[in-house]
Formats: sequence, C-alpha cells, structure tokens
Amino acid sequence: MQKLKNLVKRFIKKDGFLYRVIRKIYHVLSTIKYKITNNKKIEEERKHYSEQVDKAIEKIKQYKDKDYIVFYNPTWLGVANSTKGLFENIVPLEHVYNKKDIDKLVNAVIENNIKSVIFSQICDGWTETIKKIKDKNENIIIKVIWHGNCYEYFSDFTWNLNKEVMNLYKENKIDSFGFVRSIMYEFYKKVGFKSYYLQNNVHLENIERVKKVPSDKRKIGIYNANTRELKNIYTSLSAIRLVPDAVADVVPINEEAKKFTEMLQLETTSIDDYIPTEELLKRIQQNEVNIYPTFTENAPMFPLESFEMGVPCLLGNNNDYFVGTKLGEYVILTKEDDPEYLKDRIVNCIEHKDEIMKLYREWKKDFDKKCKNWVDEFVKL
Amino acid sequence: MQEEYVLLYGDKKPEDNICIKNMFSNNQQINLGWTDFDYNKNMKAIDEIVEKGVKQIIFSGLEIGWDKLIRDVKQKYPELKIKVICNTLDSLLYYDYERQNFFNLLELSKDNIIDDIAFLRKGQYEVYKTLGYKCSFLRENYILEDDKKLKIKESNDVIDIGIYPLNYTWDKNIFNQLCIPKYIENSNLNYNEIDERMTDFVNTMDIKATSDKIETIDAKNVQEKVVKNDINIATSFTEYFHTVFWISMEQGIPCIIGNTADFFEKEEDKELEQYLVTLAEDNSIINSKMVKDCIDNKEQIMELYRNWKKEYNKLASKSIEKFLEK
Repeated sequence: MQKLKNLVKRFIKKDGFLYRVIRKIYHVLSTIKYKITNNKKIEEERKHYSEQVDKAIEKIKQYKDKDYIVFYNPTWLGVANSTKGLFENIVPLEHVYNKKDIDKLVNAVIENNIKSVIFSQICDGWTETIKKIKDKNENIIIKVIWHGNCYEYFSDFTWNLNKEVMNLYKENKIDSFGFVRSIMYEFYKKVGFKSYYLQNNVHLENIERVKKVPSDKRKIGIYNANTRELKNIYTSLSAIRLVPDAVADVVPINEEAKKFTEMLQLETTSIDDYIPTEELLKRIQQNEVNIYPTFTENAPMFPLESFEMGVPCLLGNNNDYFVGTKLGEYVILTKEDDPEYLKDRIVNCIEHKDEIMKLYREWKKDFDKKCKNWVDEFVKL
Repeated sequence: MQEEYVLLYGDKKPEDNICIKNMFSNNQQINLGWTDFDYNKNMKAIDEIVEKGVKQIIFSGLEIGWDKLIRDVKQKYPELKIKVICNTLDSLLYYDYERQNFFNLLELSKDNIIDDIAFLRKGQYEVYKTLGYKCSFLRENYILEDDKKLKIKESNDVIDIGIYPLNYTWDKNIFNQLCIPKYIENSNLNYNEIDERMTDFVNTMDIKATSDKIETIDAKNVQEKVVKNDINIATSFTEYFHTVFWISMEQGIPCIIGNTADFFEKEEDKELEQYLVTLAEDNSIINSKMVKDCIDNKEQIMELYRNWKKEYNKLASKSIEKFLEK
C-alpha cells in the first residue's frame, strides 16, 4: 500500500486537485478499515473521551460567572504544566470527537455565564467547539494560546492547524492569541493578529527537597531528550564525556543513545522509561548541573524546574528566559551543536554554581511579578 | 611530500560535494554512486586508481555499502592508505541512517582498516581524539577563482534577501528564516522553493517573495542565485559544510549563518563574526537586525572578509596538507 501511495505521489502535483481527491478517498477508506478492525478499541476510546467531557463540565460549573476558563489537555505534559503554572480557572479536557459532547461543552460554557474561553493549544474537536460557542453567543471572547514557533510548520499537522486557527481569527471566531515567545508575539502582531505575550512559569514549593548524597563524581542530567532530533541528545552526551569525572543521568534513555554512551565509554545512571514528574524533580536534586541544549524552543519548563530544585540548567539561546542578564551570560548556550563548547560551559557553570543560584533567585522574584502582569493583561475582558 | 591521492564522493549530499570538490580539486574525482551503489563497478574503479600508482584514497563521507567496500579494498591493497572525511555531526545522529553509518566509520577505525578520520568541526574532533581515534581536524573551505565571479546585484530601492536551503530538513530551520523579511521594509525574498509549504507560508504570512528554485544543486546554479541578492541568510541549527555561506561571500554578497562553524577564532576576526554569525538561529527579530546591519555596512564587511579569507585559506590549506601527509 505504501509503495502504491508513493508511486501515486510521484506523478501527482502535491496539493493539486487530483492529489486532494485521491488523498480524501484514501483517507476515507483507511478510516473505514480502521473502524472495522478496531471496533472495540474505538468504543473504549469514545467512552473515555466522553467521560473526560463530563468531568470538564463539572469543573466548568465550579467556575460559574467567572471572567475566564482555560481548557488544556492534561496528557500533553508540557502544555499542561505551563497552563497550571499560569492560570487559576483551569479545565482539563482531552480530544473531543463526539458532536453531542461538543454541544454539551458549549452549553456548559453558556449556561455557566463564562465570559471568556481560553484554549491552551488546540486538540481534536476544539476548533469545532470554538465555532459553536461563537455561533451560540458571539459575545463570549475566545483566545488561543499557541505554544509553538514557526519551526514547527515543518510538520503537516501543525501547519494545517495553524492555518485553521488563522482562518478562525479572520472569521471572528477567535478574538486573540497568546504566545509564549517574543518572536512569535512580534511576528503575528506584524502579520496583523491581535496578540498577547505570555511566559511559562513554575511554582514547585510542594516538591520534597532531598539531601544530596556526597560523591566524587559530577552528575550531569539530560532529561526528556530522546523524542526529537531538536533535543540534541548526542551532542549533550559527547559534551559530558569531555567533563572530568562526569556521570550522565539520562531519563529516559533509549537503546540507540545507550549504545552511544557505551561507544563514548561514558558512565551513566540512566533509566529506560519516563518517570513521573515529581519523582524526576527529586532525582535531579542529586545533580551538579542539568543541560538542555535544544535547537529551538518557546518557553521550556524543564530549565525553570531544574533551577527551582536548586540545580542550574544550561539552556539553548532559543527562548526569552534570562536574556540580557548576568545569569543569562552564565547559562544561555550559543553554540548548541559543539560538544567542546558545551563542556567548557558546563565546567564554568559548576565553578560558579552558588553565584548562579543566587542570581536565579533574584531573577525569579521579578519574573513571577512579570508573569502575573502578562496573565492579567491576557485574561482582561 | 604528500602522496598522490584520489578523493571519492557519492551523490547523496550534492551540497557537500560543492565544497569537498573545491577543497580537493587538483585530483581525479570518481563518482561513487549512492542511489545506484554498484559494488563491482566501484571496486573496478578503485582497481584502476591503484594501478595508476595512487597511494591513498579518501572517501567523502560514509554511505550505505561503503564500509564493506572499504574493508575489501584494504584486504586487497594492504599498503593503500584509506581515509574518510566524516560527513555527519553528533547533532544529526538521531537518525538511524546517520548513526549507523557513523558507528560503521568508528568500527573501521577501531579495526585499523582506515588510517584517519577527518572531522570538519573542532569540537567533534576533540571528542574522538580524547577517545583515542586516529583523527584530524580538517577546515572546510571554498575558493572562487576570479574568472568565475559573476556580476552581482547593484543596489536599488528594493532589498533582495536570499534564502536558499539546499535540503528540506529540520536542521535548516526554514520557517523561522522565512519570517525575517517581514521586518525589513522594501524587501523581496528570493527563496529556493524545495517544498510548496514554503510558498504557502510566505503567502499566508503576506511576505513579499519570489520563488527562485535551484533545479540541480551544483556550484554554478547556487552562484547564479546568490548574486541576485543584497544579502543571503543560511541560519541552520547545525552544519558541517557551509556551502551557501562560502559561495555567497566569495561572490561578494554578505551571508548570515548560525553559530555552527569554527571560522572566526582570533580576536581580530570578532568584528566580522559579529556581523555574520547569529547566536540565535531561530530568532527572526535578532536576525532581521543583523540583516539591516549587514546591508548598511556591506563594503566594510566584504573588506573584512577578504582580509580574513587570505589567512583562512592558508589555515585551510595547511589542514588539508596535514591530513594528506598522515
């Protein structure tokens, strides 16, 4: 089937009429085949997603007459943590596939007199929800927080979704956007969209602080880095190999990265699987430093989580944290693909750890205030 | 005295071949196919090279099938020196293809089948030197002869900005680059339309742009494109050969690149580096300011470049000699 698909693709102009017709037919047939062969699984999934809608409706009732609520998908961990860190009236909601469920949600928003609905990124069924809310009550203000940057338009899914929300804005179904990176905020403003600037933030006072076990080795952490090329895990491992007495703590680590550490003769204390965030936050407290030299980001949560746990984190020059500060000079990396450069920066960071943490604590006090102001401005009616 | 050599290159990465052929241009080049890799044909070609008295062969990169070929060549001609120029970086090892070939390369070195690995980035070279591999740091380069210099665009009211990624891959950071002209008044973007998404993007975002597709990637075609612009941009996230940068600069057009090279090491190079190397590859605001700076100071930049390049050519040439002599 794949071979046939590739053959057809070769002869038909992408996004031409014939291509779109064939793609549509292929999609419909694939969907039918999937539904027939996975009937039981689909039923269970439908039930699950409907239950999530019911829970969301219960939550909406708690926010009756509020100025705003924020929908977020609790299974998208980055977006979920970001939303929890910024807003008060939050409503976990997964994909919504059933039209009746969409209607129930829309009715709940209207019946509970919610003035503004914020969508923290867009899941399946959410654009339909937006349209129906506006159709029923055009005075309800709709805002969308777009967590990505233009790099992501390399993906068909993200580009098509972006175009869909841009069209909804042009049709007055969406009133404004929130962006968590200045380049996106400025760019969309320039393109003509009403935009707000936000930053992600973390509050981790509830996480247990653990005592650091004394060691002759320098433990350096790399986390959640094996899922995408952008996370730059192999350069990170090479860099750690160059640091004297270093041990890499990599969670999760996959077979390929493990083989690479063996080739590097790099000592590791890694785990093959994801671990719950709370457990991870306790684990990283044993480290000298964490590194996050990704190639592009928006407002990554992990560096802030690391600092909150008392461990400096080096991060790529691809977000708005610490820009123009002394702290930034210590921890922002500007040559992410160079292991020797990363090694020098790791060593420098370890040498100035106390000063860096002091600078972070001062920065965070100011950042908390700014975040609150940005959120207040965004949720204002 | 360096021994006579032949450089062998494949067809998977034509953008790399532009630089590598220029760096090793005095010698015979044989096209070692990738898409139509033919073991017998290539072995026969190598037999002919050895019969001519060539003492060392250099492979540009290591693609599928080459490791077996190299092992067999070594067995057949134990005295022949075999070296490989590594055409990947740690940042690209996420992909099975790159990683597997890289591991094969290291195995060839461990088994003493190859005599040297040349790395094009200093940081990568330091890692494998530390691990005990026989390796060299080879400085990438591209020298344009005066008679190949084309007529460049004369300044007018429109600022032409060129963005010519030679691959539609994640590392080229394409869409953040396409945002840059939005911040430059009276600008027109000329871009290598390697995917229709690029056109869809500039149209959707209302960026004044002209599709300027490079049909076949070779030096001549890239040269003809870059000279149409006042400035070119190639801010990839990660690179080893900076083909567009070299061709643009050599033709006399400033080109901004990411912080992905080891070009400007001395203190006196810093001024030029600040003009041409962005420290924030995905930041269209910072990079648009750099574009404006480059346009305002074009003459000075090109003067700085010419002075720097004279010295760099010597360094690059020395690194090639050293690699060949090993």
